[in-house]
Amino acid sequence: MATRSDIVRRAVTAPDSSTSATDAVSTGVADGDHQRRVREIGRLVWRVAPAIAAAALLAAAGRRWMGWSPIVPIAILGAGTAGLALVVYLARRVRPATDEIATRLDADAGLGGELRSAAWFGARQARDAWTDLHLIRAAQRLRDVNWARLYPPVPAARARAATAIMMLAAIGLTVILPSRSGRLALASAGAPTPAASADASKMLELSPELQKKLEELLSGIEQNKLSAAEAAAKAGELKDLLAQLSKLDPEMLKKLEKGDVSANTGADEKNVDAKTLADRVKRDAAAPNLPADLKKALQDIANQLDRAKKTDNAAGQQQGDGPPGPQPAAPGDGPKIQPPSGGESAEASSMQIARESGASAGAAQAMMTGAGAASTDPNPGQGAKNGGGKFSAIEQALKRELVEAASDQLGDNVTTEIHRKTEQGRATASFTHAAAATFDRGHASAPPPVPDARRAQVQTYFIRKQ
Amino acid sequence: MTLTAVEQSIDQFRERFVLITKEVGRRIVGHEEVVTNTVTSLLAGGHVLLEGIPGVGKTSLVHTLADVLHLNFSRIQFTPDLMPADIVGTNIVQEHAHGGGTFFEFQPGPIFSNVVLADEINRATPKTQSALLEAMQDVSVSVGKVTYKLEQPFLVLATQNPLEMEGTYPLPEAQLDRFFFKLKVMYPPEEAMHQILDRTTQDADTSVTRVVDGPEILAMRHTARAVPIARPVQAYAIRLTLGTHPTSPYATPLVKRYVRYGASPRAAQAIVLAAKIHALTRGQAFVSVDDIRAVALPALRHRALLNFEGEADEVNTDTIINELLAGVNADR
Repeated sequence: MATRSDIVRRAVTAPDSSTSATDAVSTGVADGDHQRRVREIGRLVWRVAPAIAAAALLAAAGRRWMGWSPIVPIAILGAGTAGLALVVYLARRVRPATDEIATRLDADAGLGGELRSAAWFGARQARDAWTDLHLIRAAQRLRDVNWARLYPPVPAARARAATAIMMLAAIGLTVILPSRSGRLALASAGAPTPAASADASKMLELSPELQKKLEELLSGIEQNKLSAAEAAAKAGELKDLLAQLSKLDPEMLKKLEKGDVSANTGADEKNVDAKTLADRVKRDAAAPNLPADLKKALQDIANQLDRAKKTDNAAGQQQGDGPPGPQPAAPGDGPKIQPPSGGESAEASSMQIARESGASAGAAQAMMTGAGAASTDPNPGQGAKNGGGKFSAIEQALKRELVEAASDQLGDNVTTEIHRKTEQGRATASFTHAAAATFDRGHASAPPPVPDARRAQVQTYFIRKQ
Repeated sequence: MTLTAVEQSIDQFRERFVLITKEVGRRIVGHEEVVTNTVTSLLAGGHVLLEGIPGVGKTSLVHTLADVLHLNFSRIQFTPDLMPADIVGTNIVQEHAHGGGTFFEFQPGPIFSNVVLADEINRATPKTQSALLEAMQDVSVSVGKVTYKLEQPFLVLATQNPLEMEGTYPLPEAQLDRFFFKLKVMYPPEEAMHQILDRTTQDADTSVTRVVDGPEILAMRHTARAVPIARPVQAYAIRLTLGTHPTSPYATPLVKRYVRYGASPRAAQAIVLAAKIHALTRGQAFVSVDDIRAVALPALRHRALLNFEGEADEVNTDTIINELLAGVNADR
């Protein structure tokens, strides 16, 4: 089979053979066009290939650290390679030599338009001596044109190296190294840390100011320095204390739900021993010369402190016995304040609270249900996030108010008026903490009928509030 | 015709062309391009309009060319009172030598020469100018009922002064279109001025020899027309011609703005023919785009008719044609 150079040589050695010259010209054009396209395709390939490899590397990195599918980098590599292969195949196909191709080759080779003209005449049948001479001369000049030198292959060493490195890295990240995202997810979705559990116990710890007030009150009681009027005033202060004890910090609650409460949010050494304080309050509450409402309030404080102690104990036990590794946690299953145990627990669980998220500030509605009612379904605003563990506090506050309402003397009791304002302010604060957006009236159960035994007291209570 | 004969024709053409231009260059200095284009026009069978200020050698060029070509030469000084009969000739009454009455005899005018110099052609009236139309196009003149063929090769070299426009009659478009080339004879450069002064102010021999005669010029014309041109190259010449029309898709912004009428098909003929001669002078057996470009300006510059805005802005048609050459794609 004759090569291209043979055809050109034959045309030159046999100048009268216009057919050979025509073949030489057409073959030369085809050869030059092939070399040119190979170069252009090589340039294109080594311009696009690094981009494809970089995209695959990014996808592999995404798989490694963001948890993307391993198919993505492989698919990018495969699709890019297939696309480039298709482009190379299409570009390397043999094409008919057009005037545009001949013009381009002519300009690149510096043939002064001879190749273009000869290619056009070579494709025509009609010939004369002039065109034959023209073709032969063009074939002779084509012999001196080295297309391989005119269109050398694209070196693109840096592009090749970069492509190889990035492809290897992409494959390595995809195939060899496992994804870190799973571990990160497990770590982030773990059970609350012991530190967070310890912080839960601190929720009920007393602030220094409260400690001071309580200390003064207890000292007064123990030293029998309180008069009747002072005792009544102290009773009001005790109610405020109770309210503050039962009020949980909403920010702390949020942190508890996320399980990332820091271990050093408070100073442990400044906190009083809940057990000692509870015992002391209980002892003072038993003093015979105290008014009944003061005794009741002291008893409530003692109960609160008892619960704080129990919570602290439970947190300490969890810190000591808990598994060391990460544990999967169910959604919304964050640390909760331990509910009261025994009969108190049963009584607390029988109470549901639905808060009105409308515009009427301070409208808190208390609903008493039976003991067997399903209290596991938190009504709007009553989940763990919204203070669902404060049943006992609310219950005691209600009890306390009922007692106060029973012994209230209209128009004479200044303390009651102050108390009313306080209650109103507390109700407003509670409303603020309620998640209005999650409230659904459809989930609110109808208030249960008031037992006949309590009806009069409740009526009196609400009439007084109005 | 064999390949060898074609090659010999090309070589012969090239040698003669070089001889002519070199011999003319012995007397005419600093106008090599004008000389080359004038000879090209002669070999293409066209006529040349030379435009330049007085004293730059227009008339000397024509004289020299006639001497070198071994052709008959006549000069017509165009003035406002010049009549057509003064150019083409007229019938005069003659008496028979031995009695027997009178008869009309045609007395040929100066147009009956191989090389005619129409000096300051724009000073004659349009009626007189139009007397050249038939001679330039058909190489014949009609007087009365008789048409007289002019001897080939026939070349009209007209000159005009672009400065003194008072009392002149600008050539009509029809006559302008009949000129193959319009050449601008510029002021010679400083180095050429030295040579001109040396040759004209000293007792130097500036005589020229006749290197080519009429039949050889006709043979060269025949050779030039045999050069093949590929269709894509010819298409470029056509696009250039069409591009001078403001409504053409090839028209450039300057053409659209300043040109009223573009070039006629004669322009394309002139371009292709001149490109063939240009190719032969380079020893080529084909016409390239470069050949087209080399001859496009003198072939198109007088065929683009400016509109009022172009005249008011004193736009040079060379600028328009150069923009056209840069704007029209030759590779399409």
